Amino acid sequence: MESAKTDEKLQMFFDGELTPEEEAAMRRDLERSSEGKAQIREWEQIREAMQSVSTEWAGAIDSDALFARIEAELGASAVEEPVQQTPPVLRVVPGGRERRVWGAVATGFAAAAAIFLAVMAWPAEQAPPGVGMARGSEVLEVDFGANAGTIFNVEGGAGESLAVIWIDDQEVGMP
Amino acid sequence: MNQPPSNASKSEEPNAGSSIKGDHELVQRVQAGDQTAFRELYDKYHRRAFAVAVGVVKNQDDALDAVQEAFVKVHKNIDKFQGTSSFYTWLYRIVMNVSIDHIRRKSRRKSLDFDERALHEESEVAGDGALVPSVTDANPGKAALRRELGGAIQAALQQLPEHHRAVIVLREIEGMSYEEMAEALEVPKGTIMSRLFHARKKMQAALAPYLSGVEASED
Repeated sequence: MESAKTDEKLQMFFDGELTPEEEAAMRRDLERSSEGKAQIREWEQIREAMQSVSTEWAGAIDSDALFARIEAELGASAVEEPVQQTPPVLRVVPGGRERRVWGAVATGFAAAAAIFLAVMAWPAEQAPPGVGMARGSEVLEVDFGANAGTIFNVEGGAGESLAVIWIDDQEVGMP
Repeated sequence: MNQPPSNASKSEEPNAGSSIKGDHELVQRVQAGDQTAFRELYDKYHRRAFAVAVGVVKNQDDALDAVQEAFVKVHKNIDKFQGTSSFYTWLYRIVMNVSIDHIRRKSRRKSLDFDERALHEESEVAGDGALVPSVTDANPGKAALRRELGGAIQAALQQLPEHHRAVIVLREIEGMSYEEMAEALEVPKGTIMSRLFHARKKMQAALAPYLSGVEASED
């Protein structure tokens, strides 16, 4: 028990863990203890050698390469983490104003074309006087612009085919 | 000789109050998303973390893996670090845990005969000519003797139980106080002292011929 206590104190002395008073007492004891001095000497040798070899170990590191590995692992784990759902963000579309203007122009043309075609397909006897009608026109193509629309073929009162073009007010693809 | 050797030289920097304060500032910057601060912490501690890891795991490649894993854990858990303890104590706790986990994982993969073989070889380390050349045969100078002793130390460390290895590495390589080791390893201070004493005894036994060799050459 006494020996264990001495060993503990000796180790604390070696590690600088004693109070100044205890340290001074231990130093006096060691003057009379060759065994204690030998113990301290061997511990010192082990400490010095461990520090020396650890310096060699640490010197062998490629610091940048190791940090790159750490960054790569952190990056990979960030990718593996579930992507947080973010609310849609409104953004300004370059040229959006111009697109709206051209859409309105195209809508106007389409509407004009629809009126023109409807008038052209109207029966001659119902046509207002003074308006020359060219019947039997064929609709080949309608430019809806930025709008959606539908072309119907309906039967007129005299059994003739009439083209009706429906143009939606809502532009397609606009937020 | 009778001077109590102060803490190991490498402990001077982290034990300084200004360094601890500097660490906390770096940690706060990392917590705020500053990656350059993380690099600064890495630059400051990775070599020492590596030296500790090499003392615990079997070889340098495993130590590199352990240090990598430790710093990844540091980065991922930095928000949980409250600053109630010093950063380096926290870091070494992580390095130790990762290193010990590493050798446990590796040992599970090996055959069960390995530990018994190592125990039988323990008493023969000093005489293992392939691992450590004979001091007398090599006719070395002081530096060569130290190198040989270093090799013998590495071999002896590998044969210590992991809890003994951890304390002696943290004490002798990192120069941690008993209090700091107790905090890093999360065991009572008395346990640290006991483990350290037994670890030193085993190291002395394994290295006895080399210790006397160095002593003779230096006298």
